[in-house]
Amino acid sequence: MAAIIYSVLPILVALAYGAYLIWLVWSEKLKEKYISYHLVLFVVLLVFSIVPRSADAMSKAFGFHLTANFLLAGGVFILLLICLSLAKNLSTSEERIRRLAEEVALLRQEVDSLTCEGERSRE
Amino acid sequence: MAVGGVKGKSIVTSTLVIVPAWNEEETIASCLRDIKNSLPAADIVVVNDGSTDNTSEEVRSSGVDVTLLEQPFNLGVGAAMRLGYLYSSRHGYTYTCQVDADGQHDPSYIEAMISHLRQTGSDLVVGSRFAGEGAYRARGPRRWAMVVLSKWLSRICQARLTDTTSGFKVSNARATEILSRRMPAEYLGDTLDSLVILAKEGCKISEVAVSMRERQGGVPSHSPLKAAIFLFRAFFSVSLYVIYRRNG
Repeated sequence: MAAIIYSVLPILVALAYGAYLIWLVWSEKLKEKYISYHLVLFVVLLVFSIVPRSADAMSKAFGFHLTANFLLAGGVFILLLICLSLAKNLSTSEERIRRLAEEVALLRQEVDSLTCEGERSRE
Repeated sequence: MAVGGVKGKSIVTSTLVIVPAWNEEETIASCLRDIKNSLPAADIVVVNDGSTDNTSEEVRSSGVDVTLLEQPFNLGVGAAMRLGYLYSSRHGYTYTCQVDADGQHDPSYIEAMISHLRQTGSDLVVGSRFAGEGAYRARGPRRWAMVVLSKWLSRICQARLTDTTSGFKVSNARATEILSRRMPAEYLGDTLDSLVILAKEGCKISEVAVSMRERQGGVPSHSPLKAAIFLFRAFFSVSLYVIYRRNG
């Protein structure tokens, strides 16, 4: 019984992850460029959970003694990459918000000076 | 024929031409003069997508009366077009046309595209390079990629489309309003994905044969690797839009 749960649980987790991903895409909550690596991750997760031997084989190929070590190291590495790419995107966004704020300030000044001119010409 | 911004209350039919431009200082002025010559009554809006060259100066000194919208930084061609469509939608134009700034699109076809739109009751008309007119031929892997894409898109849009990556389009007020909300900013979003979005919103799409001129700037790519990447990304992004729900 316990063995069945242990083999089925990872598949359920992978499927839940996939379903959530598809819902995010469907409801347009996730942009295209953020979907791709989650999609790849989902496929890998699904393959590993359905055929655990593939994870073992891969871990051997990378020279790990324990599959658990391979999964942990791999997971950390992928999270690191995602983290870095998010930080990069955040930096771009911050820079753009700054630029927009400057643009708005300049526009307000322009509108103010136009209003002043308008009032002066009315007087 | 400016309509004073009263949405949906225009009695005269008005046409707006959107020209998205990113670093097009060499071609933009002649492109604008061409448009003005072919369609003297149409309004023109240039969306400068954060150019780092003299595009804006060229637009101002071109001698053509245009509205210039400047984005503070480069956001991609889809974002530039969405701003153009938003402008059009807010000002209540009857027809909106989108023309590339590189001089590839011949504006003398716009009139024919508009009358086709009216006669067939379509919401969007695409100017196609492969529907018979002109001598434009893509070769090799890029051509195969385009053929596969057009077959698939034709099926989704329930219309015969031969040139799905064309940036030469005319839309009516309904399609313009949808595009002003949902035009994606991603790679190829302005062409393939926008067609899927319109089809899913129930718009009727058709095409008209146009001949395209040689690009005055830039070199089209013919490498098989680039074609493969293009096809892969196109399939990926279209698939995403196919599963998107109908009303966002």
